[in-house]
Amino acid sequence: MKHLKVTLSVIFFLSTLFSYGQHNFKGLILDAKDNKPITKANVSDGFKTVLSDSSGLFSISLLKNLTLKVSSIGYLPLNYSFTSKKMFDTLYLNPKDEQLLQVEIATKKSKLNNTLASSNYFLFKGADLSRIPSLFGNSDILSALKTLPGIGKGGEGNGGLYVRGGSSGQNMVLFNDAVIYQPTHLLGIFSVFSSYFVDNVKLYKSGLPSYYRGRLSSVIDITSNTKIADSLNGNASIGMISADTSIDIPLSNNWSVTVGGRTSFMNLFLWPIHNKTEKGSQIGYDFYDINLNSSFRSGKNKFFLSAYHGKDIFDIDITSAVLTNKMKWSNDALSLSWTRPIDTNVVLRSTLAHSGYNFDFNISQENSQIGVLSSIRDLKISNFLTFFLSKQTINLGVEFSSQQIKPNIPSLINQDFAFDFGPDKTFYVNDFAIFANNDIFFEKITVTPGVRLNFSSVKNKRGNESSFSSFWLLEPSLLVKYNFNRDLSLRVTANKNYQTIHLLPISSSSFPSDFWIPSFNQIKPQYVYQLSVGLFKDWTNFEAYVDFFHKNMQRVIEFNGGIGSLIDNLNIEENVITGKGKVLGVEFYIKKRTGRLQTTFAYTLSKSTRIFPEINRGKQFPFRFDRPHDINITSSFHLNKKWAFSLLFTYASGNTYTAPIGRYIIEDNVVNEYGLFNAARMPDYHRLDFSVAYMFSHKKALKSELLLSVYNVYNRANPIFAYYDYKGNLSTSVIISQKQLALLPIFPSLTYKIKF
Amino acid sequence: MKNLSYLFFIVIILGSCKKQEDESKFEQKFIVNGYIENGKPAYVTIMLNMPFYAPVNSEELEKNVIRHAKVTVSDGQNSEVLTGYYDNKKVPYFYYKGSSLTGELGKKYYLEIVYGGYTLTSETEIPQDAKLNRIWFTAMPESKQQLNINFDDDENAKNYYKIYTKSQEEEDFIRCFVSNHDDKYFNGRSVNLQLNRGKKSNTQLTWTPHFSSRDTVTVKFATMNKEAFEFWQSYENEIVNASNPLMGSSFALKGNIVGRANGIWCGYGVNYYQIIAPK
Repeated sequence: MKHLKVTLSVIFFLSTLFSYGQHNFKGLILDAKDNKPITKANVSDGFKTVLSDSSGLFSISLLKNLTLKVSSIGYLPLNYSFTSKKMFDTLYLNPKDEQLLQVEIATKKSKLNNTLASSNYFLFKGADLSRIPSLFGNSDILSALKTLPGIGKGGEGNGGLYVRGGSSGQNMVLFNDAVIYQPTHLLGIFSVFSSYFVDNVKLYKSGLPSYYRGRLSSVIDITSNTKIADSLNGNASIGMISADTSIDIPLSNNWSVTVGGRTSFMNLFLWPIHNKTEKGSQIGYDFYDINLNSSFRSGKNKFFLSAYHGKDIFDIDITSAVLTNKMKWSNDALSLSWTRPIDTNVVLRSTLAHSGYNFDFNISQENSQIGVLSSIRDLKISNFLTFFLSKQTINLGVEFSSQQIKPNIPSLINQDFAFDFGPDKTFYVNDFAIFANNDIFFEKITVTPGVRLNFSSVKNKRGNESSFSSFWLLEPSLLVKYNFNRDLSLRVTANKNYQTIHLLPISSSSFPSDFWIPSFNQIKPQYVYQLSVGLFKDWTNFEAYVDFFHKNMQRVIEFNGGIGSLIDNLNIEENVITGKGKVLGVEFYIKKRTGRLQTTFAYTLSKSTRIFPEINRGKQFPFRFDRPHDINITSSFHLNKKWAFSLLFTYASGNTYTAPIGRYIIEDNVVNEYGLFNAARMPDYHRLDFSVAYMFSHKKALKSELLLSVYNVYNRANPIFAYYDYKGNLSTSVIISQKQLALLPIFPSLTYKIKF
Repeated sequence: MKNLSYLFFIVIILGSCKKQEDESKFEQKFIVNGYIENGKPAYVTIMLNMPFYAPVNSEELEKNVIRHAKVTVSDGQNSEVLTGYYDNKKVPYFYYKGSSLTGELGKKYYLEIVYGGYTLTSETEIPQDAKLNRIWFTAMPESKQQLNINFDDDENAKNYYKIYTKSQEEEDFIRCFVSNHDDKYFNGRSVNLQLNRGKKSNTQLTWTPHFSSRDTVTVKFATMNKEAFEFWQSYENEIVNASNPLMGSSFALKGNIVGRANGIWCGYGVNYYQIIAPK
């Protein structure tokens, strides 16, 4: 691994010196009707497939065949032949009529291998969501990603993504270029992304391209539809616990706006039922999201604006202790991108993105209150050039970002007396990065080296005291793909990535309790070496892959304290301990992708361990979200134009936890003595969901459907937390009972959706 | 496809052959709870911890009470071997208590326990005491009364406080809910605190944070050192949070007993106050 970066840089520079026996062709794909660029069109020479970018541009290196097949949903396919001298051309696709389009959407879904084998990401389209049962009537992109191999569930009530043995804080979720620090609403059923604002999702688990800032586990890049709407379109859905709507408004031929909103109303119906049956705890919870997107074109310049705000408000009253826990969290995202061709084969993309995140945790008893707040403000500017050269594509870019992070602002009020915690501790982080990524096409091999150089400076300020730290970080990556033939390919990726912001894993249950702290002198950046080797195979109706991965993580963190430690502003880093992590695993995936019945089977076998000098006397222990086995089966059946069915079965080994092994009595209280860290395992997690949709017949523009979805069909009680409860009198006898808190029973829900 | 399925099969077999090791072992140790206050002799209880699956009842507790230990307390110059007493109303029902050696503010005290070949030791100090300026009640609904106190924190000293209350029908002092305080949040200020009654035991189901009208309430206002504060903080965290899914707890208490033991030996600088709740 030490030689990796040297090798990568040699390959990178050599690549620009050589020319290979291939023909590189570039093109621009436009709508034949209105000359608008068509994004994500498939361009194939029979051996490989590339996608057009947001400006309609593509570049493909050809071996012998000088005929291209160009296709995109909603357009008639085009066969395009050309002479070997031709390097660039504009191709026009004719839109299909509405009826044909319906048939196509129903039968042709995204081809996995087209993107996955030729690149290193899994492309999930918003339209694919209809193939997975919607949970509580809600089609959700992050829940859908959890059905893919390598993405572990955190258990019931946990929205976190645990990618290839990593923690939930090791993923970067981007929404139209802006980082979303807490991408899920409570219980993980709803992500913060309304399906009406999700067009494409790219999931990277290895070989992260250098234009992304590093994370140890994954990058999930979510983009909305950037097309300029040409007519007034609307979507709306109303279910038993939430309602969602969006509307596209064309303002001119070159400008359109999409606005939308979503809100839950569980406090009206759902929680009152729970609170009547569960006297021990009283729950209240609701959330909302607001979105605004706008696309604008002026000549060759294309602009896209995206704004998002969402908030969650949760409270749980532990009646026996007269305690109220309250949690509120909110995300804000605002981004603007500007794409323009500089030359026939050079495209420049500039983005400005702002993110905001607030988390507020509060416990109160009568007039006493203990609370802690956490916040992040993030501003990022990046410029990104893509060169479509002969035999290769080069991406070059620079990025500057500035963050203000307040990991924990404690408060303690006893009646009218406020405790004094002094000035807030604030981190000011400035990052500057340059990056380069290069696709080089040989006859049967594609090599993509990449490198990112990051300089990070951190100011840690508290009142008049401040200290500085800085880091130089070099992140190399390499992707090599070998095509045995047009259906079978081998893909190898190797990468080293740093992560300079850490999510403190403070909660011992799966509830979100998100406190972020940046790297500084006391908590150095964590980093990973990952090697992944996969074999990808395509058949006419099936696609499959096997992907082995090995990760060696350094300076991963654990939090050596409870949330109480955060109500101590002085030295939060004293509770952060660092150690090593190792993950070894293999992913299997097979999908039947055609016909009325489509099925996907995903299985991940993995082992994720940690070594911390301070835990278990330095002995290796399993990661809390270590999942030896993780299985997901999704299946959908379109009976006819009116009826569609889908189901999801999911199974995973239980989370590990630290179980008590003994107890003793001090001052009349029973105190637990705990055994080895994470030595016990919760019961296995499994669940079946089912959906049936009925499409109503309407005149032309209007479509509507009624959706019945059943969550947890066989009512499995998947516990999220195990604890012991004592009742009685010490001087006579005490009844000890093991309690397991399970949250979500069988839950049928009805949703009515309308589209015009 | 055939090769793929073979591979699939082999990996599953390998995965399921993995041996599960459980290294969690219960280790028997002594659990010591001892203290000495200014003007009073030392008080110590010694028990054994119990494996997790042992029942908790009077018989089992009786087995685990240590009755024949030699418990010695000294201030560096004078020492005293404590005498054992029975009291059926207490848990544990057997305790060791001194008589001649009483605590003094600002002095260090050493504890030595010898039993069955094991020697356990510890040391502590009694910090300077602190006084309350005011105690008062505020009326609550259903003729309940909320207790409040006011005191001045010494700006020039590092202070840790622990507060107990006792009403006329209670045998012992009970820690308040959130009973430990570190002066780093109010150094040098005049502090108003609302005191909520604590639960006597986490085995108790019902409890109210308020007193009733006409209750005679005694407040025990104690100072302690950092070690004691850390122990009682970790204790409170375990008692309050172990069954709270938002918080949880999985850490050992930070005791100060040297030897095969856990627990606490602490000195308290104490003042007592009595007040009757209004009608």
